[in-house]
Amino acid sequence: MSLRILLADDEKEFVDTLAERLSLRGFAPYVVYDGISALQAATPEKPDVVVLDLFMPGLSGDEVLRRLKVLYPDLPVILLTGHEAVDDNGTNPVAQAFACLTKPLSFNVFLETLQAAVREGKECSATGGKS
Amino acid sequence: MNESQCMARLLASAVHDMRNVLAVIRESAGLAQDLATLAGGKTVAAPGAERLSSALSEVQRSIIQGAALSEAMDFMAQAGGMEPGGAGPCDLARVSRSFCLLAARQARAAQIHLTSGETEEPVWANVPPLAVLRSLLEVFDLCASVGGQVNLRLTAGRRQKEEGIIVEALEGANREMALAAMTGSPMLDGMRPGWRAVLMPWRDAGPRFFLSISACDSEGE
Repeated sequence: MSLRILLADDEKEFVDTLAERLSLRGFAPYVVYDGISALQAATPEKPDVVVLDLFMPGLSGDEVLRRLKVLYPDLPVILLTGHEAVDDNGTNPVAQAFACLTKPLSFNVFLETLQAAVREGKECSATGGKS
Repeated sequence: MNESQCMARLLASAVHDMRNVLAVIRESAGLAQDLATLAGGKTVAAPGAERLSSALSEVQRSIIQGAALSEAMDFMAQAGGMEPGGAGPCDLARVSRSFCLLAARQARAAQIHLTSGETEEPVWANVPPLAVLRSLLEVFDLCASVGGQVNLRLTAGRRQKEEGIIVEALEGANREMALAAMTGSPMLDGMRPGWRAVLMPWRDAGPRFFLSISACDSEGE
């Protein structure tokens, strides 16, 4: 079964194209354009990985991450940001993310990160540990 | 909020959007490459496919260049957003790299080849990054004032336990004139009150200078 990747970003052109490229590689991406929709999309069925833009209108990516981690502690989440400086001091929710990547992405780096996140998610699910 | 912080906020916002634009271009070019690969030359004649591939590679190279510029602009926005008088630790290696990227266009116009020397690790100093950028721009202007045509290498480093930027005039038709201009201008102007920049010859290390930036008691001494 294809891996289910939830992509959330208010930059529609970007995230739609990213999803199309993932589809071409056999993934099953589904796209939302704001934080609240991301939470709703993740609720009925847990995705394998979530990719969140950090700065979204309504509910920001870090808040979505915080809430998702309450629902699914072992869910791997990759954050995307257009800003270089992200507070990663261990108290910020960003520290709960599997990785934080800066746009514009290297697609190869993104794919490697995605695959590593999937591996970690599976290991955590198997051991009942936290990601 | 002062003017510098205002500029920093707007710049950070613009850089964020610029990165989004670059991201869209990058993914769109990547998708075009994916689709061309899938087509396998069936729908595009071989010469056209090659040209398409090289054009898309050029787009990717330009995006990497744009991303590096964005990073430097983001750094400048962070520097401009600091509290007045603030001089938290700043990595001089990053300042040097950012300066070379930000000043690249002006450097080409002045026929100055700017490079940032590699350092193995960050060189932290308690100086405002904007003050360092401003001093580097003054060094640049000194070289431009004698007609440019010189290769400048800027490397973060230490001299007698003091952090600063090593300025080397490596080669070029006006190298000697640039060296003379720098030798005759040890004190740089335009520093914000409380900071002093000095360009000191470092003769025992060859034709190079050490740009020292330090706090001073008197205002703009």
